[in-house]
Amino acid sequence: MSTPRIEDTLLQRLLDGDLAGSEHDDVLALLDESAVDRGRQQALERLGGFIGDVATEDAAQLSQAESASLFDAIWAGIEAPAGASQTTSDEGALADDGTGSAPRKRPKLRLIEGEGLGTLPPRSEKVAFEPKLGLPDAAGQKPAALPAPKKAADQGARWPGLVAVVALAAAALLAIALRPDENPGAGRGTPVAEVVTPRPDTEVVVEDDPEVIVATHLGTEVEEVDFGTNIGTVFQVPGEQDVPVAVVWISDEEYVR
Amino acid sequence: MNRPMTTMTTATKTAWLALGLVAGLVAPALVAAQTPAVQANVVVILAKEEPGTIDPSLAGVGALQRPPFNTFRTMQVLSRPRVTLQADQDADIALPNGRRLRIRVQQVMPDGRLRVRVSINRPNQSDYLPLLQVLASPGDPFFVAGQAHDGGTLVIGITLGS
Repeated sequence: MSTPRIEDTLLQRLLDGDLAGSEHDDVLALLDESAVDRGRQQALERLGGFIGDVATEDAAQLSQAESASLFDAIWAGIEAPAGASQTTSDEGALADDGTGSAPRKRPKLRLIEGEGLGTLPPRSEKVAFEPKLGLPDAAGQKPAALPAPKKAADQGARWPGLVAVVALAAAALLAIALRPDENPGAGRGTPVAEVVTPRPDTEVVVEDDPEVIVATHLGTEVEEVDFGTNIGTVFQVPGEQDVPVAVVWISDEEYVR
Repeated sequence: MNRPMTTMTTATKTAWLALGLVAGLVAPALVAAQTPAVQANVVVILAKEEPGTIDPSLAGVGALQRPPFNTFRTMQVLSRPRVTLQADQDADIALPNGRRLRIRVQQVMPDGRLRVRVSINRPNQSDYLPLLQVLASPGDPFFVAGQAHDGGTLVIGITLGS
């Protein structure tokens, strides 16, 4: 197995369309040369598709108000001081939201590859959006009870944040299941190996005392012989498959006389 | 204390005797009925030591390639009679020297082999081979050789049930 040559971040930026200029051309050139990287890129595309499907389905079940409130809570947790306890910082964030702070700069959200997707060491960026998913329930308040944002236009822009959070959670689960193709040339959906449950041997019934055993080339043998007045002998010679073949050789006295 | 009576009455003796007679008469018939018809393939060969040809049909008979048969350098198949042997019934095959080969299947053994009786004699005589009893596996031959005929020796191969 060859070593990946393109960093995870670059691959993801390429999928997001964030690369430009010489950086974009360099990554494309490396992709052409590395089947492993092409496989990783395909895996990222597949993963993004799955996450998008899951996130869209989940987001459809939330109202705009709910999604906006949830995003605010998550964002407050992200911006809380590192040394502060979770509860304190969350409450502060909620309080800040309640006061209707000025529109903040929304960070660029992107699909972050899990540990199973790449062989490059994890980067600090991967933990930048660690969500505080337990926040609303921990406060004993439902999202609907939170203060609503003042600007409706801002609400519409926030719901994709919830999508991103759900996407991160789904990514963690899917990253385990969807590892990059080690053989990118193989067709999708083609199982690498098939687990076959061994079938028990068919039962063989052996009769204890069969009435007749079919003789299979046991040969021939003389049980009894009466040469009369002649001289004879009995012997065996090897026949087909070396089975014994009985031979009776008897002189012809009439001929001798 | 009275001893149990161990002597049989005359009527009981008669009954047991009759039963034994019936069994003795019926048993052979039952055995014969259980013995299926068997086909016998016979080959009559005139073998000579003088150089000649070996019948190609004998090339596959392994026993004839062994001593003492391999001392014959000429082998001619005179006939290949086939007979169906019924249980306990004689089947006669005429030989070129005027004698008759008589075959009778006596019994099918538990291992599948056939017990067969063979004799070779002139009609109404017992001049050559009065009795030969052989156990033969179906398909495996046995040979009777040694009769003088036409400057050579008759070799008779008999294969049952092949």
